[in-house]
Amino acid sequence: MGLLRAGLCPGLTQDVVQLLRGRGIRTVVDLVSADLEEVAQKCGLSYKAGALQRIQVVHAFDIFQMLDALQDLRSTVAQQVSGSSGTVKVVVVDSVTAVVSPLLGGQQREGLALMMQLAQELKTLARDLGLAVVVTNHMTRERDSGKLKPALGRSWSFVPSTRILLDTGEGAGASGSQRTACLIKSPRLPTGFQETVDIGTWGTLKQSPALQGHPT
Amino acid sequence: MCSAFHRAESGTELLARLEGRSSLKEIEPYLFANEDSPVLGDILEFHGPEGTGKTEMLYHLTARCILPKSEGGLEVEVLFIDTDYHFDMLRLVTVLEHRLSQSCEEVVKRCLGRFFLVYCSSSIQLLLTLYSLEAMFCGHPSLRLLIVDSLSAFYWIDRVNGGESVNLQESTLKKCSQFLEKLVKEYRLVLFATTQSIMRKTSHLREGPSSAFTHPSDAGVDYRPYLCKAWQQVVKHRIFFSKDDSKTSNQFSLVSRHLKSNNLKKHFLLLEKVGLSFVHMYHKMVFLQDGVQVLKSL
Repeated sequence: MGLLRAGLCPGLTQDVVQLLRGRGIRTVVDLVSADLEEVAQKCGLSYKAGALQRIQVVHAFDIFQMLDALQDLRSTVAQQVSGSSGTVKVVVVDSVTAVVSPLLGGQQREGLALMMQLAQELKTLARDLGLAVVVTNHMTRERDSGKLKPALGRSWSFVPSTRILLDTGEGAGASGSQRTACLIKSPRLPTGFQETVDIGTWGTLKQSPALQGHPT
Repeated sequence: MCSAFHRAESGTELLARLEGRSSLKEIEPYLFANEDSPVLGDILEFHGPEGTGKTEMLYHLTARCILPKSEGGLEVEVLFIDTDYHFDMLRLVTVLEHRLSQSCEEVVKRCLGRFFLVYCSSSIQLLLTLYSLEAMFCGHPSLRLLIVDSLSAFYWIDRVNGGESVNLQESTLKKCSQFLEKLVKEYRLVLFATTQSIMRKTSHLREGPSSAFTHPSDAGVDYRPYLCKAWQQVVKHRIFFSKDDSKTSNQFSLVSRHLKSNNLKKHFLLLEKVGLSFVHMYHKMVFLQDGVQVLKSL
């Protein structure tokens, strides 16, 4: 009953079935009750590689490379057959300040036009192709008041629909891996909502009170 | 293109058109007092920096228009032109649901049937879309409200595309403004357009378009006109949005200025999950001839 065979679930190819059979795992019950880490190590499987293969990294060190990369992505996604396992769902741009800030400043309006063109490309990906677009930006200080504000100025501030401000945690008991995330702009939720995250364990402090005072 | 169609409207269409004439007066009693209420054929501009509630106000006004009369709406149709891809349908539906006494899917669907949404990604596309939408205004006599969010989305791209000549840079937006004025007057619509504050008030003018529109009664508002003169001339009513940084995070204020009568009013808004609401106290600022301002609280 419930013998493992190829095609039973995604990733279960004939090779994998043979490997598992060699370790004594023949049925679904065997597989589920086995320790997966151990199985993976013994069988030489690396399921992490599969996860890493799904991350595509593109280098873009100036605005034109960035625009080219986004346009390539747009044509690739538009041509892809929907429902295939290789569809892109999230685009992360780290960081947009690095490619745009050299263009700004001075009397050049070409820089601002290129920035708005980049904004349009990103918005097209988000809206027309249904991708989630995440962008990172830096903070600068205002000239007169010295207050911290997001970089890239006013024109860029209209582009993101949601903005989250990340900061290092404060306080005596705070460990080095704590960060606070504050919602400063949202089309649907009230702003000002803040959450503290421990980037060492990737858990929120509320859910794991035992971790407070035990830096990991 | 539509003049023949226009002349041949039926009796019911004529009645619908005339009946709709007064229907927008009550669009927002807090914002528009009797003398300033948007008359059909008016153009209103919402101006402000990011996150100050301009788009949220548009959802508020849209909901008011598309809700049925039994639920406190005006039951008119709305056309929303989105140029910066910010429109959030889920947010509009949330606002609608909170205003309905019984928010069943049928009623929401019927309300959304009175809502039309268009996306534009360049100023040329906006102009061509407006030309082609003329047929729609002909065919929908209950379409009374036109919204453009936002009109300044293509500002920098247009400036670079126009090269060195300021006229060329502004030419498409100028044509859009003139055509919008024609549409609004001919089909008796009200236009709400948002513009973003992308220029700082105190910074020195870069080779910007020359428009000497700094009125002494700007009431300390961070406003520097930068769009073409053709647009400045068609706006009848300008409303400035700002956020009170010192106060609670969901309080906003707006200053509304009627350009002809020069009435200035300040309102406070609260932005909550259920939508926008007005805080009841507001001050009326009246500017006398010698520039002395008198603050009357009502």
